Amino acid sequence: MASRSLWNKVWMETRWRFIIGVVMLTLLAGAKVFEWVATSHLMPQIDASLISANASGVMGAVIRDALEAQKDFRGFIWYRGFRDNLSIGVIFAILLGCGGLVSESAKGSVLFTLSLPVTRRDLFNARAFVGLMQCLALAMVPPLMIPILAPAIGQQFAFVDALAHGVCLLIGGALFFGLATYLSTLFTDIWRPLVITLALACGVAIASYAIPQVDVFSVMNGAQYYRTGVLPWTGLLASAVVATALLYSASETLERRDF
Amino acid sequence: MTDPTVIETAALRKRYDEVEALRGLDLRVPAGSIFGFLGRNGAGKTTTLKVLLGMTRPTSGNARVFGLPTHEPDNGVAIRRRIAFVSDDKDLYDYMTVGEIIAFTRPFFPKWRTDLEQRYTAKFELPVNRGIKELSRGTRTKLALLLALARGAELLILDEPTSGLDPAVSEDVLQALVSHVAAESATVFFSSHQLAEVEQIADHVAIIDRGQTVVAGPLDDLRARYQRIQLVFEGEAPDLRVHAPGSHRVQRKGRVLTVLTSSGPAVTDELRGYRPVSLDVTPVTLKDIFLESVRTED
Amino acid sequence: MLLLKPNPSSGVPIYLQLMQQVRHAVETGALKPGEQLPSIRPLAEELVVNPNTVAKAYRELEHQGVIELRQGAGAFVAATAATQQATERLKAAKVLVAQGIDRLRARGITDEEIRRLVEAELAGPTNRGAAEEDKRRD
Repeated sequence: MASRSLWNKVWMETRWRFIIGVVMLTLLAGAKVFEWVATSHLMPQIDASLISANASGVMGAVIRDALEAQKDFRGFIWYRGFRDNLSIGVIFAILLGCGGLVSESAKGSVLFTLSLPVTRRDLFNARAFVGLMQCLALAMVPPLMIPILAPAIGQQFAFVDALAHGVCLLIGGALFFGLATYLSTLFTDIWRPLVITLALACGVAIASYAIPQVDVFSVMNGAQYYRTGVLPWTGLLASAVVATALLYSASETLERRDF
Repeated sequence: MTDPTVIETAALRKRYDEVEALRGLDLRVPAGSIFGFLGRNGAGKTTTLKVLLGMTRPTSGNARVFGLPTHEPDNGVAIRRRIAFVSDDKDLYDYMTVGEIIAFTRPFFPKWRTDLEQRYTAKFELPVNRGIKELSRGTRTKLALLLALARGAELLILDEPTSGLDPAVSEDVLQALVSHVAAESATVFFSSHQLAEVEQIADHVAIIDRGQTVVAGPLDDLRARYQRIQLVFEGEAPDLRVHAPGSHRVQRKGRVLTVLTSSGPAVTDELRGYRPVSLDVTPVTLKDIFLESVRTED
Repeated sequence: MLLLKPNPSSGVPIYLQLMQQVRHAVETGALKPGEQLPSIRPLAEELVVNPNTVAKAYRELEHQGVIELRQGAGAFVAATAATQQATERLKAAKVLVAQGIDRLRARGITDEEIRRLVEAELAGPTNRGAAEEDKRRD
């Protein structure tokens, strides 16, 4: 089947980025589980009241939050796992979004691709499909390490929690994937989409302090789910909508381009 | 519906920002022909090919392949199912092997010819497990040609098929094209700077210059029309002007006058009136026709 | 192979070159009446020329009566080809003779003188030697 050929092509173009990302994130997740052992000894020794007396405002709140969260295994995993390692996951989602037809046009092989009896939409859909599947794996596999490995250190982590965090990571990650994909349709090199998306991600992170509504990172790390057990539906919906819009725009841009 | 014209453009224009690559290009490629598409670098050849393949949208004018307008996306797929394109650089996916790209291409074409695939894999001695990035230009060309021929294409579009190839590989490429046209009743439309090769296998040519067709037609007709006439006079050759229609280049040297013209028979008659001592008509090569057509000042 | 690769840059159309080659082959006896010529496709492949060009050459040769194209069977040298060739040659020769005679008459040489000149030439070198002697004796 021709679509399988196209999927295979996209896979061959992105497999190393994907494999490295999945392996790295899975190892980091696994390592976090074992880090709890050392941390759990240290945490009770820190006198929270002493620190909060000296630190005030936003900084003080952050420190108090950190100490509060890491008192138990589940909180530690959320704070030090999902929160801290988030940036690496985002970077890989962005990397997967780079490439595609327009950057292929810097090489001559795009002429071969475009002379195939498929529409540009078909070509784009293959890339989007494989990319999102890869994001799915990047988002789901590392969190599943936690419930699998926790018993090894005498702890427990619910599979449901891992899945919930995976979903948050996936949808937030899809947003960055979509952004990188869209920018890739505007430039023939692979660097500009990468750098611009990273810059925008940093921008969003900074803006989140002032405007909490745009804090896609807290949606991704599942903060609300950790605190309340309820998924951040609004944030997830907004991310999904933005991701879809970006992918749609990317597809349309490709339709109209002269190669 | 059997349309005898496989490719047809009318008043085709393409503007890229400041530059007008095509300025009203007319083209008619008959089915079953081997059609040479000639022009200087930058004359608009590659742009024309891209428009035919649906890679670029024309600014105005018409382009049809198999009678279907090329700019409609649905037509694009229907057209590309029946054609093959080999680009100038013959760039393919350098992360695949020879075997992988053949396996990649096969599913797109229901009419894939396994017999041709096997014949050309053997004939071209293609190393099935070698990575494409390790192949020489000649081998890559042969691979690109196999991918084009094995899909059972009715129309082959090639951009400079033998550029950068040694004579032996060039001959293999030309032979494969000729063989395909003969056996499969296909049409070949190719752009080239290798005029000798065009003369060898093409039966129709079109020469474009600055985005327009300046000469087009069956090659044998052009050879009959374009002539070099050499006249020797008793005394100094007269400084004459040719009145017959067409393009003419007149050179005088002492008692000898040479005229290169696109209306040979008419001009020959006209020049006889000047009573030369001798009048010889010598054959003209495609190179002469090309240089004459594209060098004419505005 | 019987037919040689035509020269694409000679200015002479390839189909004419092919026709000349076939006619020459028939003339010299390399191709005998009734003998089969190579089919269009394999010939085009071997010579690496356009199959339409080969087809054109064959059509013209058929038109001239040099070959016959038999539906489904191929191209064959016509039984009368040799005599056709001979007829063609004689026709061309006749034109040359006519031109020669015109030129000589234009210089005022009489028909009797022309006839004697022709016979003298045909007689050969020994007689030419004798004729020289005659001249010297005069």
